[in-house]
Amino acid sequence: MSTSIVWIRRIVYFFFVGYLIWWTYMYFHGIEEGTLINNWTDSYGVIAAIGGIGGYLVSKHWGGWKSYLGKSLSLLSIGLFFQFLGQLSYAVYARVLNVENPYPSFGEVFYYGAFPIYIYATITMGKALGINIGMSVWKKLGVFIIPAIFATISWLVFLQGYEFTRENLFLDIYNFSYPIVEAIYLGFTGIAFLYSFQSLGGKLRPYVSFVFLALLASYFSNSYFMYEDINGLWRPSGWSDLIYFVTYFIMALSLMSFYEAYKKLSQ
Amino acid sequence: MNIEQIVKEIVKEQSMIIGDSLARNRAEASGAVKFRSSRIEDLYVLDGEGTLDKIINSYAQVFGNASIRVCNEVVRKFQVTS
Repeated sequence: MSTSIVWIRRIVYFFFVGYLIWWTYMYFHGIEEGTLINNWTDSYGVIAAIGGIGGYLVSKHWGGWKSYLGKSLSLLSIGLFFQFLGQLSYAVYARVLNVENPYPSFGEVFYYGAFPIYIYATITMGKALGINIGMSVWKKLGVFIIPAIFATISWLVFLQGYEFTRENLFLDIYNFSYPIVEAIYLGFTGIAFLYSFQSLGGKLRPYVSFVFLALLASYFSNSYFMYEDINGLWRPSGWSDLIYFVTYFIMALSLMSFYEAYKKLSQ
Repeated sequence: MNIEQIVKEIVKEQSMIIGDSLARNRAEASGAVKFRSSRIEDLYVLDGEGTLDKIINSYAQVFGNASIRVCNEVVRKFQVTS
């Protein structure tokens, strides 16, 4: 299993460099449509699939579903894999069903679904860090207040001036609930991250911080996509796709870095 | 207080956080205990002197104070029951 993880990480690096060169080439040659663009946008999610598989293998070293940390890493890996499935669904719509960018559609089940999984992963990680023990009333209140603040900021930034069309009620509900789910997600991550600064030490601290950074990047990439979509700025292989791509890479690396941590602590 | 029982309980608690494999590795890395098999129950203490300190310090390398707190909770539980 250890050799597989090492190879999976090399493949992730290889895909990252390859796809980045591909994107840079398109950007500097001003290519905005065609096969190159469509192929890039439909396939870069493969890095999330590989990272998800790699992360899941790493989680086995940490006890898998039987321990808090192993469970958290498993959930994060599944969340990352969900992002790949989301992109795959959109690619199937475009290439098999010949429907261009049907947002939101079945693919959102995976994109949206990744957030509750990430929230549960953060709560489980929090249990591993001992967040429940000795948490003050103010910090417990913060669990509710911080997400509420982020939800308000998200609405103000991304949905200010948004008009209900009533033509697509599902789209309206979806667009309005997304910032709430994301805010809850970011709130839990923020609390866990802040708490870890106070109580967490040891060799795992940088690895845990890396995961939280990846979760933060995931929040940013989703918010930026929403901003582009609502303002009609989204295009295939644009900035939003690039940010998603980099986020998948960071998440994949952060999960697989726990293998290094395991080796260090096993010595 | 039975040191061996306390150490077993600490290893069990740690295995719920970081998994069986690493919990056993850290316990053995402390130099205070050994295992007869892959089961935590088959743990035995090598040297009674400073065993708890060695075990706690070994786990502290994982999550620092958070790991120490888990160990202390176990020790406190045994103090109360005894």
